Amino acid sequence: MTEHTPASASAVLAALKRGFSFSWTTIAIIVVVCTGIATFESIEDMRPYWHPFVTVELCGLAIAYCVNVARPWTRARPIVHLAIAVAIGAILGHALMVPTKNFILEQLLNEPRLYTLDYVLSHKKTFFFSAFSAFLVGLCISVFFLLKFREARAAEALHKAEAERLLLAKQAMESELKLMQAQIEPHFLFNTLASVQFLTETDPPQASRLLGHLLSYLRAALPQMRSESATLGQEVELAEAYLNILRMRMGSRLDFSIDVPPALKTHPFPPVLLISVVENAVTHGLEALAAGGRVNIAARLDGDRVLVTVEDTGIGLSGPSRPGSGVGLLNVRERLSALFGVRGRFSLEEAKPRGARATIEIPFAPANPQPALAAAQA
Amino acid sequence: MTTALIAEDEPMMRAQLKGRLAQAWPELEIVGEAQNGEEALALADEKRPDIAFLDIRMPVLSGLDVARELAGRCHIVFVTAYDDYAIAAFDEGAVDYVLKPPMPERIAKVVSRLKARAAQPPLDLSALLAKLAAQEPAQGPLKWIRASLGNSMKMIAVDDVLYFRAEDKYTKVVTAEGEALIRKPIKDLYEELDQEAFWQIHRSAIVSLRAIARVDRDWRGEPVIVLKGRDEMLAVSRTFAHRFKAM
Repeated sequence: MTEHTPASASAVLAALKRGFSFSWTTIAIIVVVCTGIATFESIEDMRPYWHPFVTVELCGLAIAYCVNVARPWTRARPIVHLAIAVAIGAILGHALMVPTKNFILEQLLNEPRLYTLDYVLSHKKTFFFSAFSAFLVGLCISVFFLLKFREARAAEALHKAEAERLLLAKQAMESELKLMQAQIEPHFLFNTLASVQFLTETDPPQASRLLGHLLSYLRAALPQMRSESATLGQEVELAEAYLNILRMRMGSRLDFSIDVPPALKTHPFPPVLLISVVENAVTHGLEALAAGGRVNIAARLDGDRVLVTVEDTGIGLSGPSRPGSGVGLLNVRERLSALFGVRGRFSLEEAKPRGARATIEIPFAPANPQPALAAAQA
Repeated sequence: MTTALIAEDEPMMRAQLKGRLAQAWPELEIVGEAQNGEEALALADEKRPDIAFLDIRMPVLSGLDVARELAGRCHIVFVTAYDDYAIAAFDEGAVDYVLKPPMPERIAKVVSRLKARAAQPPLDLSALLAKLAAQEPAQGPLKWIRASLGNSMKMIAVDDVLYFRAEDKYTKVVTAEGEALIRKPIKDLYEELDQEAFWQIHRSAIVSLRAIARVDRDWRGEPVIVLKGRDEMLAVSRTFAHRFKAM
């Protein structure tokens, strides 16, 4: 979450700037508390009231600023960081006090400046005690707030995690629904049936082959026929049926290859994801090209991830986007993150020398225990 | 003798239509067969057919695009498998069309209409085509951004973007995973974004509302945006500050 990168000059500058961001409520609380302390101190202090007032307010604000810069609550050892920040704040407050008081004396009260270098050096002990007491009081108050905020923060985090889980579950359901509804495009179905009809008149064996591909496509793609959990092998078969149909229809314009290791074919895989990506590669990548092209589907195991890539040699990412393009892929992405959180990813990038490469990444789930999909869905 | 051009990207569909036409209208001479819209235009220029059979969905240029180009030069018959919005418009405008797979009865009907009209000038389709173009599903807000990362290209889902920031003539796209550059100036980009999900907060910055953890005030009382899980904060300029007044 929080970056602990080596402090570059710009990062330091950003942190120093960040220290100034206070809500008015925070500033009001600091001023009120400091005024209380200053009033208490003024009982023993022989000097006019504004002396302790200026000292305490400056220390209070300087400590708050330093704590805000350090943000100890984001760090591994918050109390240590808090103590260092408060100490620096106490010293900074006193350092600011010197010119501030001189300014008030000279400019506002027309009195001689009191805090000369000699004066400060001869009152080292006083300054040290003053800074030390500011440190102790500041530390007590900020530890109190830190602990209090930690509780609130923990409660809030719990709340947020719960809300996020519910949102994810809802998203999973919605994107599932969208994918299912968007599945079989009437255009695809009618064109394929028209081809079957043509072939029954001209080349019956080919017609029966095309009909066979259409049947296996429909069996896997129709929501009512689809099983709840699927394997990568089944999903690849669906994509294969689809590509076979298109290859027969488009003639020489489409070619494809599928390279999935047998061991991965039994791996659980969310239904209908792969076919959406393949359809996108064909309709938005290849169909727009007069010359057509190739689609390569490949799967591999990479550490604890299963990577499935769909590469095409189509127009690539630079082509004009058609209405509705990208919505299907957005559903794929949503569904992956709903099922696997940060471990389910989808990416789309330009392939060399041309075309696009889509990658689906899901966590590897060994054969037993039960499919990770079920666990992730629960 | 009447001449015709067939534009259809699927070889089987082309052969089928040609066969059906040969049965229904033996005297019709097919002078050209195109596999995509561009070829269709070139062939139409070369052969000057009396009739063009145009598949609506074709690579490079669609049948509707070709019809727009051929306006008034020949009779147009659209061929489609399933385009319900187009078919409704064709019926309304008395435009000829053939549904795939082409049925002999339908072809016969279209042929007799074409024969009757042969002597007349072609129908003026411009109004109908303009109407269809307007009916095409609207582009909707931007969903994917094509951005360069080093010297490769990548698609970034708009949902992943935390904020955009103008940098010289580029726009920086910041996501949880890193930064990328796009060429589009920030004000053009803002037009294309879903303005329910993205707010412009500065002349040079657009933020995703989902990425906002909270809105603080800086020491001058100006609103600054604190992002979820990020250290940097984004300043809100005076022009856009009113949107955060209620927060």
